[in-house]
Amino acid sequence: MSQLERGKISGTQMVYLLVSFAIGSSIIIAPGRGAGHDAWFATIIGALESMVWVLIFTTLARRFPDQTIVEIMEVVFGPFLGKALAVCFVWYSFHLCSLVIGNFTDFFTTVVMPETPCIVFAVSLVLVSAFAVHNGLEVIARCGLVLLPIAVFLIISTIFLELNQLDLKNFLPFLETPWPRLLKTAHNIAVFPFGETVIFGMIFPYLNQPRDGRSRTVLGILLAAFILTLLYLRSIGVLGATRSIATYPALEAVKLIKVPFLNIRFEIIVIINFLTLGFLKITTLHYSTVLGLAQIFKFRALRPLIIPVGILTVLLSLINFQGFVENLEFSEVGYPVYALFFQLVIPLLTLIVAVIRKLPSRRTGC
Amino acid sequence: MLILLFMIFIFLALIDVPWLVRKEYWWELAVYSGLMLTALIICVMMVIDAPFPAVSTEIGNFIKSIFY
Repeated sequence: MSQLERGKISGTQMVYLLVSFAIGSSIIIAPGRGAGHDAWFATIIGALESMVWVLIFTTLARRFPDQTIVEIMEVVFGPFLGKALAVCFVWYSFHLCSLVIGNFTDFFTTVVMPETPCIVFAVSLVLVSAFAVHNGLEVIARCGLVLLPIAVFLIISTIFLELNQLDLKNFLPFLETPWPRLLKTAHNIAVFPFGETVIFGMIFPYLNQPRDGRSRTVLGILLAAFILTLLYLRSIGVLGATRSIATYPALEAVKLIKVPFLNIRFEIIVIINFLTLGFLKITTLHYSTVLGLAQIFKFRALRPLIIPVGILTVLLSLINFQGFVENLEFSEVGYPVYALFFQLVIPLLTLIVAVIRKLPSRRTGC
Repeated sequence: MLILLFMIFIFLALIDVPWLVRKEYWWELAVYSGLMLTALIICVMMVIDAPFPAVSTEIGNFIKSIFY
């Protein structure tokens, strides 16, 4: 196993990190738009669909328990094709990190501080993320242990505060969305955010019990699906049809909270949640990109890559799109197909070739 | 603005380069230098308002041309 990371994390820490990762940007970027008021149902179907992909990459991880997915590709496909596919996978992690940073800066410049240049938010976030990556995987996982319970408590609090505003008629008629559109939306949800957990193929070898990777991933996705379903139920129940025209439905839903004798703007709850969970998602992606590149280039330490990768991620986040509309279009049309290549095709191909070549070999263990 | 940019990159390099030289990690130093140079070139291009393709938009257009 690579000595680039000496830390080990427990299965519980991985579950917390995975849930934070899965709901990190979904808190404000609602992937279930196409299904209207049936988005909560599409989330459940999407989570079940993503289990197929989890099965594939966790089976791969179980065959090679001490190796990250990047190392596995080099073993299975050889030094040249393996490195090429590993570069593709690391590119996905890097690109995804820049997309999440872009979502983050769009949100903050739209909602919180419109006069502040977006590069300020991007650089601030990546600086903190770089510090976390420098301190290693254990520190990142411990952040998840602290931040996720706070975020979940805040989410449940907002749901309780809005119970008197929920209108059950907003959920009717049930399954009004045509099945092709519902299934397409479910697939979009399977890709974003659940399929993105393929990134955890870089983290499985650092579990105390690497063989627990599959059970922890399944548990993490189910928990994330439960939380996301609750969020959809809240925003559909409160906003109804106006949910489809809101840029950030979670924010619009929370704005309607009214507590007698308290004049508080509860939108800060959504902002805090996005800040904390978004930070964890970006840090995990930053870490996975740095680790992947270090393994491709056969580095002896992660440190030299942290700052350059951080800078390049910020730069890419600034040039990803020319406007918010293109961002929305990419997330609805392009990303579900683009991400499938990295989330499903590459791991499946690697698994098939590993089975055919009977790898890992019992004799050499590689 | 360009002078500020170069100063920032020199400051960032001072964080890692001495450590790399002390450890004699020459390969790591070469890759680090390549990545930082790439980042610097992109930053300079942004400062002088050079046109950039919107990366994700182009990926989206490519996928639309094949699958839709």
